[in-house]
Amino acid sequence: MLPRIVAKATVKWEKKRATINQFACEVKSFSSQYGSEKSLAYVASNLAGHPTVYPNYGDVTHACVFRTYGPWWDMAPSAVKKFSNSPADFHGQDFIDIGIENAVVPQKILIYETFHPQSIIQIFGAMIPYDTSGNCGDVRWYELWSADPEQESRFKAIVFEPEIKKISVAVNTIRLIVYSKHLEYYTELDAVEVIGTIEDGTDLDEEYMKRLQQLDLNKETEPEEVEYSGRNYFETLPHELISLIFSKLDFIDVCRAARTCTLFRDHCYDPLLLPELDLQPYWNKVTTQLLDSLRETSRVSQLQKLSVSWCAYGNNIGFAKALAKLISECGNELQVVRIEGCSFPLDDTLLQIAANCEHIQELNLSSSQNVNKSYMCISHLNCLTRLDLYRSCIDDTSLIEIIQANPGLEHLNLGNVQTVKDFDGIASALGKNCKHLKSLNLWRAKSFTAEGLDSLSQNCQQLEELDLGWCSNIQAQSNCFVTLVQSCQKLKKLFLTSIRTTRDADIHAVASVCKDLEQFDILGTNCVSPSSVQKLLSLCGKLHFLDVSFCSQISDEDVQLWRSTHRHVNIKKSHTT
Amino acid sequence: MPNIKLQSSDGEVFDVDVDVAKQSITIKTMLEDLGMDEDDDEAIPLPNVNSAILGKVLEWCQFHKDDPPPPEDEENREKRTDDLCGFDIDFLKVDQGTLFELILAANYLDIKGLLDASCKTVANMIKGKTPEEIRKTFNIKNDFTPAEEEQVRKENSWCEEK
Repeated sequence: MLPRIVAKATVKWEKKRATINQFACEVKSFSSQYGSEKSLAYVASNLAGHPTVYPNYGDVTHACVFRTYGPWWDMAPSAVKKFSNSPADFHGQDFIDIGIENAVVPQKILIYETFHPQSIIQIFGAMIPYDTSGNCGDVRWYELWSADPEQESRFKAIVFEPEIKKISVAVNTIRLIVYSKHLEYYTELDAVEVIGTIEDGTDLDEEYMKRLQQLDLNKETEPEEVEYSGRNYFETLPHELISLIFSKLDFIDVCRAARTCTLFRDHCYDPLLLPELDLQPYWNKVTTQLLDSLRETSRVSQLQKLSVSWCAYGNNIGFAKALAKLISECGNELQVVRIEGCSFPLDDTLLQIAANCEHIQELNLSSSQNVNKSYMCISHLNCLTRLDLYRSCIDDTSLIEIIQANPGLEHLNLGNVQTVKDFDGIASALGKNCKHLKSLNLWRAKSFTAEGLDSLSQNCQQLEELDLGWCSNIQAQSNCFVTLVQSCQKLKKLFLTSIRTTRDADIHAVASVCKDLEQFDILGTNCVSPSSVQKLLSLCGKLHFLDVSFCSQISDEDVQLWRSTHRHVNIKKSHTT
Repeated sequence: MPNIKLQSSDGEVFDVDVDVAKQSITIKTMLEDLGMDEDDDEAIPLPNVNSAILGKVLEWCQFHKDDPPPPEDEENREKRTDDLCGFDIDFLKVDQGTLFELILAANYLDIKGLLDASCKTVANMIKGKTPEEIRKTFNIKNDFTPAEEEQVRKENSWCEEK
């Protein structure tokens, strides 16, 4: 896809240096978006170009919006646990990469945030070659800014201008890392402005080379050998106690410790030390060479969980091959594999998973779209309990095969999948095969209708979570929601976002049957009256989240009143300006 | 509160509350297996722990005697090292000799909480350091051959600051 050039840069020359002022010209990749792939509303690509919302504050369709916010996602039945040894200081939830037309040494970065701001926690920059093949190998990311997540909420549009670190190389790609668990509602981003300098001629490259040489020199001057007089108490500990200490280290510290001495190296390379490897927190540092080294040193031969989410930029074929090789040699024990938000080709990896990892229970391929016909091989797996295909390109045939092969499936995410043609057929396959289904995400499943919902209702009575947001072809008049709640009485989370036909009768049915309901979303329904919501609030005692935004019959005054009478419920009512 | 007597390797006898001592699974098992009860005047010998360390261990047990039992489920225990309580942080501000002896004693006496806290303290001393800084901190001799050192550097070069 060609970049959409929507913003022209302003250039000011001064001596041999020019300061360039430019807005993002394209959105290159991202981890999630609220809107549909084919739409222009609430999609990530809205971050490109000049500000169109600022200085206004409000919920506006032409802003960039991510899929989640707040703590509620982590409280839902489908919540996913971090690996036990993931570093505690990694908070990123979403990322978005933007490109600028002219590579610059960044001096200032301005982020126009127009709804529930203060969601950015890290900013990185990289120089991505303008090569059209998209395979640029391992990319060197520079951290430009980083902060701990904010806890305070603000309710006005801001131009966020973090104090960025000075670097001496030019970049043309900026990655923003988003954290939104503290926010009251979706964060909306309007534009990113990059102000930077460009040197006249080739000075920059020369300076870069000089820096590289300096780095090499520094390496050589590292102290070679120092004699210590004190005692090394590690020598007094038995093997298992040293292992116990090392088990409390993050992966990056394990790798540094390995370079200390042979005793440490042997402990750090013990395959039992690393049953779980979460590389996502190190996405900006992970290289193809690391994957090769992990495989060659057999450090990960007992690996049970692996995440390479966000790792490797673009169509990095070398990384893809290294991952496939790692899985083919070290994947026998793997139970969990997460490859989220990656753009490298996944086919080899999926083939290796199918051939070597018979114990896989969880496979997460969300927002990783570079798959060419290899989804079918996932159906070789047969003990999947969790499958996340959010924003993937899965097709009907492969998905049905996978469902038939995995009767133990409990969690399935098909949110924002545009490539499935007949979601009713999928629902029917789920009904026939997956009686233990606990959570199902069908966000924006356009072809899903009341017929599909009926087959779920009749067969998947263990459902605790169902996201039907924007499934706009469901007609509530068929009574399908009443049937649903009567058969699936364990529902804790039900999202009927933007299903315009939802009626009072449906709300009454939910209120009288779903005693465990915790999260409920009826954004954008026109046929629901305040009195039925009132009934729901009184009868569903466990409810803690309710979104009634853009429900035409429900006024601000209704919501004010409910907020005071039902303080334990977080009631959402969004507004445009 | 009934008391029992514990004897350190260097012969010192400590008179302690049974409930404090029973945080050590080793002592608890001994009491049960040997059928010893509070009235016994005989001291339980602990030949692997000297008096200085046993004193420290008992101080830790005294402070933590009302703690809830540690979670059984290893799977669900986070490996966080920044969750030490204030008492443990101060308690473990000791010289390395004492710290490592406490690890050995906590292991021998089977006191999960103390073992965990002392190992986390050592882990925190490793965190964020370069290999050279780790060597300095713990008086570790670099015993790699030049070839080995180059090899292990290459294998872990991804985390170097470039």
